[in-house]
Amino acid sequence: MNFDPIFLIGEFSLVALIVILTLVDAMRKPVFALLGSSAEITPDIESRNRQATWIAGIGLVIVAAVYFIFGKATSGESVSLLHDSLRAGGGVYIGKLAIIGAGILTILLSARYTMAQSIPAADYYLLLCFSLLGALTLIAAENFLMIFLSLEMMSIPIYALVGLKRYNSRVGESAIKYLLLGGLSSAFLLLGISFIYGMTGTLVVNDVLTHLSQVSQTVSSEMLLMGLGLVFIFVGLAFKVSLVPFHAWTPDVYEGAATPVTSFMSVAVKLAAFAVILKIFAGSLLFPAFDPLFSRLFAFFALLTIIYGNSVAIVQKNVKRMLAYSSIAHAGYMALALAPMGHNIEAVQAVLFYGIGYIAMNMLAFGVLVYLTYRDKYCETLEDLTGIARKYPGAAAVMSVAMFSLGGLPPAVGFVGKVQIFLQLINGKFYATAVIALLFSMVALYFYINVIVVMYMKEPEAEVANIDKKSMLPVWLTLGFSTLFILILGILPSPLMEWSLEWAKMLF
Amino acid sequence: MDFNVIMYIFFGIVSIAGGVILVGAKHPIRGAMGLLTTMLALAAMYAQLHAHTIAVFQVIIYAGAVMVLIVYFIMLLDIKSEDYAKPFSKFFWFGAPLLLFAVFYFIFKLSMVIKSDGAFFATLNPSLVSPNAPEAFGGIKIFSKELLTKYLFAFEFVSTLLFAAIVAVIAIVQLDWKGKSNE
Repeated sequence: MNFDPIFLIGEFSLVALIVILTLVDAMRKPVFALLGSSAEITPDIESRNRQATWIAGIGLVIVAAVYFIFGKATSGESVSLLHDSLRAGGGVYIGKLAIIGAGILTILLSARYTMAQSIPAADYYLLLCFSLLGALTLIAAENFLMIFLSLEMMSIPIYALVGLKRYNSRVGESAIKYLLLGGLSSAFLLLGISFIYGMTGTLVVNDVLTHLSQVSQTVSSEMLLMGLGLVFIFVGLAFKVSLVPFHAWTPDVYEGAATPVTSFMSVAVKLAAFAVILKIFAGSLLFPAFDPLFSRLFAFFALLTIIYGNSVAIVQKNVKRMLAYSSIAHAGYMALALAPMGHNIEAVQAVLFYGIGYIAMNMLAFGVLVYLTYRDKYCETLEDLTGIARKYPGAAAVMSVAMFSLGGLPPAVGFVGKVQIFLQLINGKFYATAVIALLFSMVALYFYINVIVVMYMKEPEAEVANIDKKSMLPVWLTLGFSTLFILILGILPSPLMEWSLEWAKMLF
Repeated sequence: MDFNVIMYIFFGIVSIAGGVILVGAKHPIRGAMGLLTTMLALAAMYAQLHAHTIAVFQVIIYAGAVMVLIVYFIMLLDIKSEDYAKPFSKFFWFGAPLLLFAVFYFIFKLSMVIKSDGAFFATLNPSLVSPNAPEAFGGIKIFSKELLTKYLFAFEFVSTLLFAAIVAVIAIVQLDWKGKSNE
């Protein structure tokens, strides 16, 4: 078999990190800890956590560096690997770097969070790395079998990460809800894939797309069954990116999960799932039989998502929940760019641009919440943020940047992203849709600006709690990097545009 | 109609009935038996499709090993019978007609299309094996060959996925951290 391992250098080094992390922690953890008698092991947890954090953090930076340096050679032309299992090289280089970057930012946030909350860090990072591996193979997947497996690889560790603190009833509820609805969405996806496989006899995405583009426009059994398969696949993926009405799990899970996990879910998982949606629905081949249907589906669901997400977010008192609804609305914006179903590369580029920019915005917003959380003091509600500007001017300032970017105000990267998406709608002559979406992004400004108002202009009712400044450097690294990313690429967006174009070319 | 096709449809109906029992049964053991019915009917369907290897795996692994696990698990949990007496949620009476309507609508739509587009179904092979299928389709030899060449990466990836699932389970059930004693 003709196979050059350099194309999978990112995945391989990540697997190596997983093995190292497993072995090192296994050395320190007696098997019998599982069977009770936990008393003598508990005091040890802090040093174990610190060790795991260092290994995971430095390890992932090394993975990113290795991929950045050696993967560069593969960025020229994409090739199909291992009997059309994965498509590596080419623009996916950018996508993988973005996802590994999101992973690094998550680990930097988690360093403090796991310490403060006494979460068993080795398991936590191990699961995070597994999920990252799933996201990496998902964006490179070339056949439906790999799409399904990678999606599971990405989701199953997240179910466990959400439920790590299952003794808390809110966490338990959100984890079980996520697991059940995630299983349901996988079932939908599989059903769709089996319809498509039954009709085309192939699992390779490109061959399936060729078949789909040749289906005639007249109503026939072939059209009906293939269309049904596509709709089921769309539903399965819409669950993952939480488009309304497949969003029911999002607010509870985002609220119940540890804040760094929430940030990872809302950026990396969403971006990878969107890459698959783009690959299947927005590639260069036109589907004369299905394009009108999916144009309506994308426009309808995206608009519904934007309206629902933004209006419900207004009444939220809990900032994490508010960000969950805002993340639902942002999925709507990304899906909206596909509404014209023009199969043009600019639409794909706009979505990817938004997705990569969204990594920085959401990491920043959740990072501030992590910054202000310590031990029993969760920073989650608007009350917790009231008047913090005086005591923590830095945190308040970067939170404002995040809110500006999420709200789509210049000079943040969110503004450029929104402009590109609305340009797609206008080019596709979706004027009414564009106006409604624009109206609701004005509505969204209310609750984003409200956070800034609360931080700067309201006096806190009680004294703002002191937070332990221990191990704060990693959080500051995340906050600083994300702020720079948002501001620099908001003012000079052309590099990010080029990167997303590179990636779009591969999906196209 | 070919006898094979009739049996295929029969087992299809049996497997759906098993699924309905699984969801509808109030007692978990009855639900487990419904699941067993579904699994065995699926195995029969695989065998009819000439996928003998998959049929054997289905019986050994699912109907055998997995079912034993599930039944043991139900026995271990030892729930008292009054716990099952809960009626369906009120959403059931709202959702079930909706689902039934959707199913019937689909069947209606499909039958309309079949009526107008009968030629397509006439092309389906009554022997239930695709004419494109390789020789000795469904045997263990060709199965292993495909698994270890064409689907090698997916196969290995599944083993990684299982490892991830094990880690996830251990992370969830472990007790050696503060959460347990506090609450």
